[in-house]
Amino acid sequence: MDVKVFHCLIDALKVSGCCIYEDSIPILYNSLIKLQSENHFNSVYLWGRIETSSIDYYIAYGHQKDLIENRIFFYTQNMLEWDLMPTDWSTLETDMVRKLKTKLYGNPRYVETIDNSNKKSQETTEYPIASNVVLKFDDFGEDGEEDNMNNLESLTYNDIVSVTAENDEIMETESAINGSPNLKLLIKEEDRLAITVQMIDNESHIVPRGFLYKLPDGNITKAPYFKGLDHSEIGNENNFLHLNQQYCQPKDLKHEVRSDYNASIDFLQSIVNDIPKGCWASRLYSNRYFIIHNLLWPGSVYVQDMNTGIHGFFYNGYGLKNLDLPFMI
Amino acid sequence: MSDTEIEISISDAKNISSKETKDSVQTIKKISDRSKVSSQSAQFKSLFTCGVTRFKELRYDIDINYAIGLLKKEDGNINVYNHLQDIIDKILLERPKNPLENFEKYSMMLKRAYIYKEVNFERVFVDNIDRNYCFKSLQMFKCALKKQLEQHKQYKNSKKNNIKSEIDQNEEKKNMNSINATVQVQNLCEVNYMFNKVGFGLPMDEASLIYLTMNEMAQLNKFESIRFWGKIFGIKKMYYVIECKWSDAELERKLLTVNRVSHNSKSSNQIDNDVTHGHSLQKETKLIDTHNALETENEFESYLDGEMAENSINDYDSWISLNDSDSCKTILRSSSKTLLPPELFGEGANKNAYFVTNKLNTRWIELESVKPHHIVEARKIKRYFTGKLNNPINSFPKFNGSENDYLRAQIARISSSTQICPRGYFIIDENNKSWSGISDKRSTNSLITIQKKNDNLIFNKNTKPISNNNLMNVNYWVHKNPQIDINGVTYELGFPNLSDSKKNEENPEEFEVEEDLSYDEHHEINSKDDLFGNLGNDISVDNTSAWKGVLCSPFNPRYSHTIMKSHVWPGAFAVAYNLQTDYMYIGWGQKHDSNILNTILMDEIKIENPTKDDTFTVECQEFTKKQKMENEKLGLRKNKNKNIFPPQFNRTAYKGGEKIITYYNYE
Repeated sequence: MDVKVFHCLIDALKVSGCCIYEDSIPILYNSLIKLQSENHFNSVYLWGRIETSSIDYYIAYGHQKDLIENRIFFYTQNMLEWDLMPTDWSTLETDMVRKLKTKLYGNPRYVETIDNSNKKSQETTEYPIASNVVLKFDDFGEDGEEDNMNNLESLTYNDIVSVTAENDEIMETESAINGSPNLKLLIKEEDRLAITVQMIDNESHIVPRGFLYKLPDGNITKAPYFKGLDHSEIGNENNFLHLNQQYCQPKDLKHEVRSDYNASIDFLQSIVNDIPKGCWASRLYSNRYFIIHNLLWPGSVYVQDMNTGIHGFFYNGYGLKNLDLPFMI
Repeated sequence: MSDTEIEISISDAKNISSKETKDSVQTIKKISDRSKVSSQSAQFKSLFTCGVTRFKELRYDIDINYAIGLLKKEDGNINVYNHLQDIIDKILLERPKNPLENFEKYSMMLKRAYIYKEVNFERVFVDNIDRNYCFKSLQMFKCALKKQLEQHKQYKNSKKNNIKSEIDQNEEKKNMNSINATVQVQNLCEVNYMFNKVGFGLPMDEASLIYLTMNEMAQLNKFESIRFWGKIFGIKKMYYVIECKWSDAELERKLLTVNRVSHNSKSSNQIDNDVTHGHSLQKETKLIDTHNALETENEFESYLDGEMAENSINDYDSWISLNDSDSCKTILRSSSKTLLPPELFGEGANKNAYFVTNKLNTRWIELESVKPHHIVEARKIKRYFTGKLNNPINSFPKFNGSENDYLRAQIARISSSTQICPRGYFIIDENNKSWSGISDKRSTNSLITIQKKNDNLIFNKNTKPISNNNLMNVNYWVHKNPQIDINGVTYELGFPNLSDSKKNEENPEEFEVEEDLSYDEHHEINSKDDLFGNLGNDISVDNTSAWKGVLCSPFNPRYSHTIMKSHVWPGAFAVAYNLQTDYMYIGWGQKHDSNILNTILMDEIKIENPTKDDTFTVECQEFTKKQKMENEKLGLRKNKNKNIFPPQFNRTAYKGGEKIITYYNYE
């Protein structure tokens, strides 16, 4: 959510069930403007809030020129000073974050411990269940089994940005875990927060089609006269695009090119093929606010004011993935 | 409600309708009327008309004005009158050979044309805004204004009459007014200010419409208190929920009607009673139209008639008057579905009635009272709401019922575990009013009266505001509602200890965190202030505190509102500021408990697997007769052993026993 439209979208956020304390709105606004000026950002965004068991984190990001690739994330607890989010983490850590099911503690220096030896039995039972779920929804790809398996691997591990060389590295880490079962795994909450935010952003940050514009030289800009989607467009999931390259879709599904394809605005992936199917719930509230909830990451919403076309993405939740989703819809 | 009142309201309605057609301003009124009536179900409409015509036969012939009004009632910009006109026009224009035969065709064709009009973008939307929605909301405001004026007039008249000291008739009206005044309607404007401070506020348009609705509900004279409960998101639509408490008079009437019916039916079939009770009280799904007392009145009467006719009704009263041993037996007989009876109106989980709607400017629907087995089943499943009340629920541990049952069960669970207030702000009402009298009359045992006593909370006038620092501490908050136990009820049945202990033995960890977490059985209530348990004793899934207290404006702590947020039910919260306190729920209606779900699923699979997957079953399929006999004997013996535990107390154990029997039969 752009800071500039922050005040306009407060009502929409209220409708969507996200909560920002009213008294903290001016504080956040001012400190974000300060953040922008200090870092020479083109624009700065309030990304969301992650609830913890004590003090909540507010997350913001800014970008200078490239508004997709070079976004810089910040977090704060006191709403005045923003700290840079760590950007480097190992695959081991991302793996751990995925296994953690508890709320964040609320202190960036807190160290979470996963007792590997204890968890061993649970993990082995849990893992196949999880993969089954994915497999089930993967079936519509209708490829051979091997492809499916590959697909699955790339799926589960690809939703973290930093994992670039996929399978080999993962195998290594797994063997490392297997090799020393008594090793206690440690993760700093700051890292966990960063990874969680990245995961959420990858899978649930969406923009309306036409909002971003790719120039012939490859630069991406915001379309200056974008008016927001109207009533005839909001019903179609094709009109919502992932800001990040697809992470929660089957890889080798053939992209159906839409009939009104426009290379300058259709360079992103639409959310139609997201798995599980039906993980986006879109509705129009009180005749004015159009809201899409992502059910996979409860708390992440896309809101749009139908009258003005102002829109934004916001996350408000515990930073936990809803793995039961296929059974809940 | 007396008959006279019905008459008044009916004649009121008639006046309105007759005016409608006469007046030149009729369109406006028609529209205002439409907002009420067009939204109702067909069945409801028929009731309405039946009631009125029946009544009319008593006085004079069919009112033509009324008939025209009915025909001109708009249903999405179309009314029957215009439709007929159009058809006749068309027939006259085209002059077909056999107009009667193709009459339906013409009607259909024309109707399609109307629908096309609706879809037409320009007609529905003005500048990207759905104008119909705005019209509907406007009608509500107009209606409210009209009502206000009428009331004002009435009040003035009564005043005038009082001066003339002709009090005889007007005393009734005065009484009515005084009743109106005692209905506690949540002051949404004030409360919404608090909610806004903590970030959970309602936007202006929602708040105003809800407030309007609640005021109109208050004028029905059926409720003691009305408040906005919250919002529940669904995948397709959202539910707005209003929580009402029936007034004593209304409750009394409901109970009496139920009683009367039950005494009639008692003699005829007593055995059926125990199987079918549970459904008896629930028959009444009332579609409340918030504008018109008349319709609900009629509806209620028809409900009564229907119940009488069916004659298979029983209630709580006759059940409770049985001995304990007897009740056990009868439950045994209905073995497979050992359902507990639902709690009575105004008791425990059914203390309040709930009205839901998807859109604020349409009708509100009353949910049936909650049945204990629905609560028990709802605990086992985790599903998002869709937003359609009659949607079936396909879940693995089966849920017997459609979405309205599920919704009601979730509402009951949420309200019992998350409606809280600061400690000492409310006290239990010691002198309960007319209630003990009623229960004496009905000659029930004292159990109900005691329970009833505990349920009533009143504001403690002697309390002092708690400092903000303390308000952030969970120990200064207490539950306002009694906990719902494992059986899905709040009151104590004849055999609570037995079932509880059994179930806990079965799988202790499952029920440890099962529900509500308000206080465990062994924990004594510390003091009277703790009402239904201190929040400090609540635990959430990962053994952390279930609540989090936050100061909303940390830069101005002295005048800050304090919010208490639930971790167990994300979206539930309570606010406190000075002596003001309130709570609401905005969320998905799901409990935050991913771990528990897995264990439950695994357990059920474990039970089922051995009979199916055992290789033994596949290989030895043929038995001699002797073997079979022996097996059956063995099975019977096992069966007997198992039957030591009365099955109705423990459904899981009973199921297990059944499984074992089949196991021995077929191998």
